[in-house]
Amino acid sequence: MIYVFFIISALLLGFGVGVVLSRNPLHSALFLTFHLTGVAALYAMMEAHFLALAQLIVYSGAIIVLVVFVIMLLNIKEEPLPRSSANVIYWLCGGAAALSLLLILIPVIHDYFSFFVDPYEAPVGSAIAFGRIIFTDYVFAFELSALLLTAAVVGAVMIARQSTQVEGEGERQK
Amino acid sequence: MIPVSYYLTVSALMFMIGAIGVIVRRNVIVVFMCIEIMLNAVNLSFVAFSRSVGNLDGQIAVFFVMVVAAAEAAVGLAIIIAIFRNTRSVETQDSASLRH
Repeated sequence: MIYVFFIISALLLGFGVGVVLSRNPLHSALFLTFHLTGVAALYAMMEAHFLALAQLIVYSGAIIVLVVFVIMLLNIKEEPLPRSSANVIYWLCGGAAALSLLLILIPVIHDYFSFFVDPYEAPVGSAIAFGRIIFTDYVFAFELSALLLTAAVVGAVMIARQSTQVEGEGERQK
Repeated sequence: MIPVSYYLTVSALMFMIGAIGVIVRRNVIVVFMCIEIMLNAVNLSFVAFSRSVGNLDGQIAVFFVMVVAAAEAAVGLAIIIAIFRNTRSVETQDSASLRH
């Protein structure tokens, strides 16, 4: 069990590094798909079955399709090589920030949370329990999320449309 | 059985990778993908804590984070398309000012 965990998390972190390092955005999207699938596998290992399926459908399915669609719609080529001095500064800043974050987080994790050893044998994340709690305690937030998604879709269409209208008006004024 | 601290360590490393990507990369779409990695890192620690406490509330939080992430993806990619139409570029330094 623990070897499966190590293999999955090593693959997942490797794919995450691939997202950051690959120069072609489509390759990044492919790596991100594998990365998100690995996260779904970790959810399944923690017996959060509903969330594992939702992760596969929503993230590896819908969001990746949106991202790939936008990449191919905009026809983005590979990122041009930046000026090396600026690039080194970026990497230094990013590495320093991330390393300091890690140096804070890792000792806290290992001092305070190493004694939780997965004590519950029965699955707590079954779809039945999940559905019961989301349609009783959280039903208001659930309905609000439907409203949020509708508003987001309408807003996305408006934002993507409006820019063409503004462009057209600007040309007319000229 | 796997200690929760292992999951949290993986989550911290994922968050670190996402943070480096947001700082280093200049392509807006790759920055967006790195934000998704950071969101997933937080989701992973939510599920790990939910598992260790034996309470479903953490998984409910992850569910709502997924809903908001889907909405954010739709609106964010629409904004990227709008930026591309205005500046013909998806590089971060080309859209440093909010007015065009």
